[in-house]
Amino acid sequence: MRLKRTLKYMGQLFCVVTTAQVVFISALATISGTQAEIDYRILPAIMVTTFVGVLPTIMFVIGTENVSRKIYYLLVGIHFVLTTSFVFLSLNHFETFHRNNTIPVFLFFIAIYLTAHITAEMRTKKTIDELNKRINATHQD
Amino acid sequence: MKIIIQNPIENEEDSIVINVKNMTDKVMRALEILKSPDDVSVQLDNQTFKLPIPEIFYVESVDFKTFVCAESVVYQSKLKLYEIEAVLGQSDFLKISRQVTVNVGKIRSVASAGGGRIEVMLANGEKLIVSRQYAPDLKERFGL
Repeated sequence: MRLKRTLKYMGQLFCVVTTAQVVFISALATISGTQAEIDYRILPAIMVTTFVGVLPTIMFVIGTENVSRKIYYLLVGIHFVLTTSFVFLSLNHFETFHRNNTIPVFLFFIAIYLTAHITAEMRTKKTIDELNKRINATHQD
Repeated sequence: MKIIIQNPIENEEDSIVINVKNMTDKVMRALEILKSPDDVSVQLDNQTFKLPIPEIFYVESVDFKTFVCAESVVYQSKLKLYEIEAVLGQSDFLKISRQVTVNVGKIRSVASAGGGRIEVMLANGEKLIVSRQYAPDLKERFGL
């Protein structure tokens, strides 16, 4: 069941990231005035890079419900290292990666992880504050 | 709905008469509570006890064994988790993960466990993680 959920999530992630990349490249090409067409050779590169980038998500099939906060962040750290390594290696393989871009791409990845983490924490905090209010009200009754 | 509470005459057994036209959800819930047993059979050191249900903090399944946790004592039950959940009913207990069912009345506060996970703190200081799958049930229970 958990495997099914994880695979479904990976599939959704793959579709979203692939679409986002195609839209981003098209938009960039249009804005920069170059021909707004995507080279047919870059499409397999986008798909393979996204696929290998999504692959480490399978590690969360082990479940994070019963792990401590430390272990959870360790898992997220491992996921980050695996994802960035796979993406860098894949980009390198398709010769679409320039070494000058290493730091910006790395920072971009950190920004994505931080945004995801901060968004999740903010949503949880809001829920927790409201839940605590309700729990206190229940006990006062 | 009119509620009438009467004192039984001497030597008469306690009884409840429900006089309704329709069996609404509210009445069904009340019936569920009334029909539920007051205690469960648990084992500790090869001895069997009757543990009153309100004293249960949570029930946990570990390695195909079911543990019933009270304030400071952990008992074992011969029942499977889903069997004991059926005995406990849904009015006071809530499933928070595939392995744990908690007594809602024993929850004192909730906190973040990192990564968008929720941790519940019980009256005895124990902390349990609510799985993402069951987090909506917890919110719903407290009317969110």
